[in-house]
Amino acid sequence: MLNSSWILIVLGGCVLGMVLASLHHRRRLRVACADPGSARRMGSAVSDLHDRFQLEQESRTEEQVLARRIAEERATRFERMFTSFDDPILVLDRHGEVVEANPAALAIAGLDPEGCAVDAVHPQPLSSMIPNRVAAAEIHTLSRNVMESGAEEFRRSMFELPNDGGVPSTRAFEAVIRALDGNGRTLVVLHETTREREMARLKSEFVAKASHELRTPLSSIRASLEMLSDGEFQNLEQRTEFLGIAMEETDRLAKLVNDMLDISCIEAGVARPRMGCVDLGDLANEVVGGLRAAAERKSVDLRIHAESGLVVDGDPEMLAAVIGNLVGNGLKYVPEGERVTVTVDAEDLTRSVVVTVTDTGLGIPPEDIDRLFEKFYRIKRYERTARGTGLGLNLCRNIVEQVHQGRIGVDSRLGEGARFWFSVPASHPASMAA
Amino acid sequence: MNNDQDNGNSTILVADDEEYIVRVVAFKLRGAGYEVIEAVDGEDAWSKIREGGIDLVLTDHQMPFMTGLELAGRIADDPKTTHIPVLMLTARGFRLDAEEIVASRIVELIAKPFSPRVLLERVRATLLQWNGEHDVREEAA
Repeated sequence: MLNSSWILIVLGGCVLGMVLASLHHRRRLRVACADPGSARRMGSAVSDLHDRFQLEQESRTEEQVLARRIAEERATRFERMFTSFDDPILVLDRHGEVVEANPAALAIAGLDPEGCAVDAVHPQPLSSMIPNRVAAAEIHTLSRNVMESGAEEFRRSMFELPNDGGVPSTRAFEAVIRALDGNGRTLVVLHETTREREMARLKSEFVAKASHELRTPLSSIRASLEMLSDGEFQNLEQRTEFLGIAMEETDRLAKLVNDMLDISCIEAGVARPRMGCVDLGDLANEVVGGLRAAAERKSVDLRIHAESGLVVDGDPEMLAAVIGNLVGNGLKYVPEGERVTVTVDAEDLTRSVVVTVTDTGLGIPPEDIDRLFEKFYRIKRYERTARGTGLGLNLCRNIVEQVHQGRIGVDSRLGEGARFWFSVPASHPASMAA
Repeated sequence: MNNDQDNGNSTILVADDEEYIVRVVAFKLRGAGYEVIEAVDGEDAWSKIREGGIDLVLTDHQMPFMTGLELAGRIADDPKTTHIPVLMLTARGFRLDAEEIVASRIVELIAKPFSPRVLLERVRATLLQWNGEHDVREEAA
């Protein structure tokens, strides 16, 4: 008699009768009365009661069905979250064996998420799920600690797992272990920190390179000043030579610091460009005009083909720095008597303005082309040809790509000169008129 | 305090891809009476060392084609040059691998920026000590 109950009918302190109310047999109500004469009177009362009872039962059933549906939907949702999480997640039982693993966790264990069951019926030892014996052993101990001490969570510092054929060759993780329920289960989430580690590595590499680049001019400055102070220079000519070195290296140091600051501001997104309408034709003419004297000193034929009216939205100072850097590099690296040509053109297809700096110099070795825009990258064979900060092209790339959403590149063949170019989206016609 | 006395006509090879460093160091050493041969990178230095007549090598570490450490390693490995002491200038000595330094038998690391006065003292001391040891070894033989 599941889902049925006897109901006592009490009136004025007397038990009048009992009704067996059954959910499944609502027609078959049994009425048992203490006073058979009251049966008729009771009929309507019982009928009322029955209706109320039925209503309550039905609403309770609806609530239960609803609650069950909500619970089921929630479980599906949580299941989906669990499986779609990029971080590997494991559930360990009281013995430290894995009883749940999401696909990311199966992947690091080298298991196929489709054809593999890890559950309470098929528990897996932790060491088979984390291919780093030391880390697996430590996570095992930590989960035991969480379970025994009742602490909320334990963190383990970074550990590495092999990365199958990927670059870098290892992936870095940090494990967070939490108590899951009263049955001694623990939740292990492995946060991937490979990217953070890579960023930290790049940062430290940059600092090391920057410190090397800063110390080099400092060395010449310090040495020249010490020798001057020690009275080592016999005549005015020697004094002038070494003070000249100190001054030139001071300028190089200042430029290096400025370039580093500019690049880091742009990369961090805190640069404040003063955007406006810039006529790249006029700007290129202006920059090239300023470099004529340097070109004449080196007997380089510096030419420009640029007309006014090629307007872009940009920061004039930053764009002038890009043109100045590209033309300056051309002048520095081409041998005497060679030619550097600057052209500014509209490119209709991409609706942009393209500035090109072509030289008839020695060209760039193919192995260096791809790395030319990296910070502090220098072409070995030209290292002594010119002195620079090693940051000029990287600054150009940052200004063009990050600040102006443009593109920058180089085409060259060894022995056949080089063609550096950058393009910036052309201004909207309305802003061109402004 | 000018110790420009006769330094026994010792010949020092100075290798650095930074032109100004070579000029400053060469000026200081020549002022102290040494012969100075200049090299623009590791390969240039190695070919000049093999020509003979070098008593001490003062090299930068970061150079194109061959680093100072590689250069010192070659000098130590070649029986014709293994007797030459090597001092190395470096802008990041703390990042060098200690085992590599020992293997290359570099006598001393001098951090950039350096004092030419201290550099000269180290050159002088190394040559004195080296020549002394060399003499003792020759006598023992």
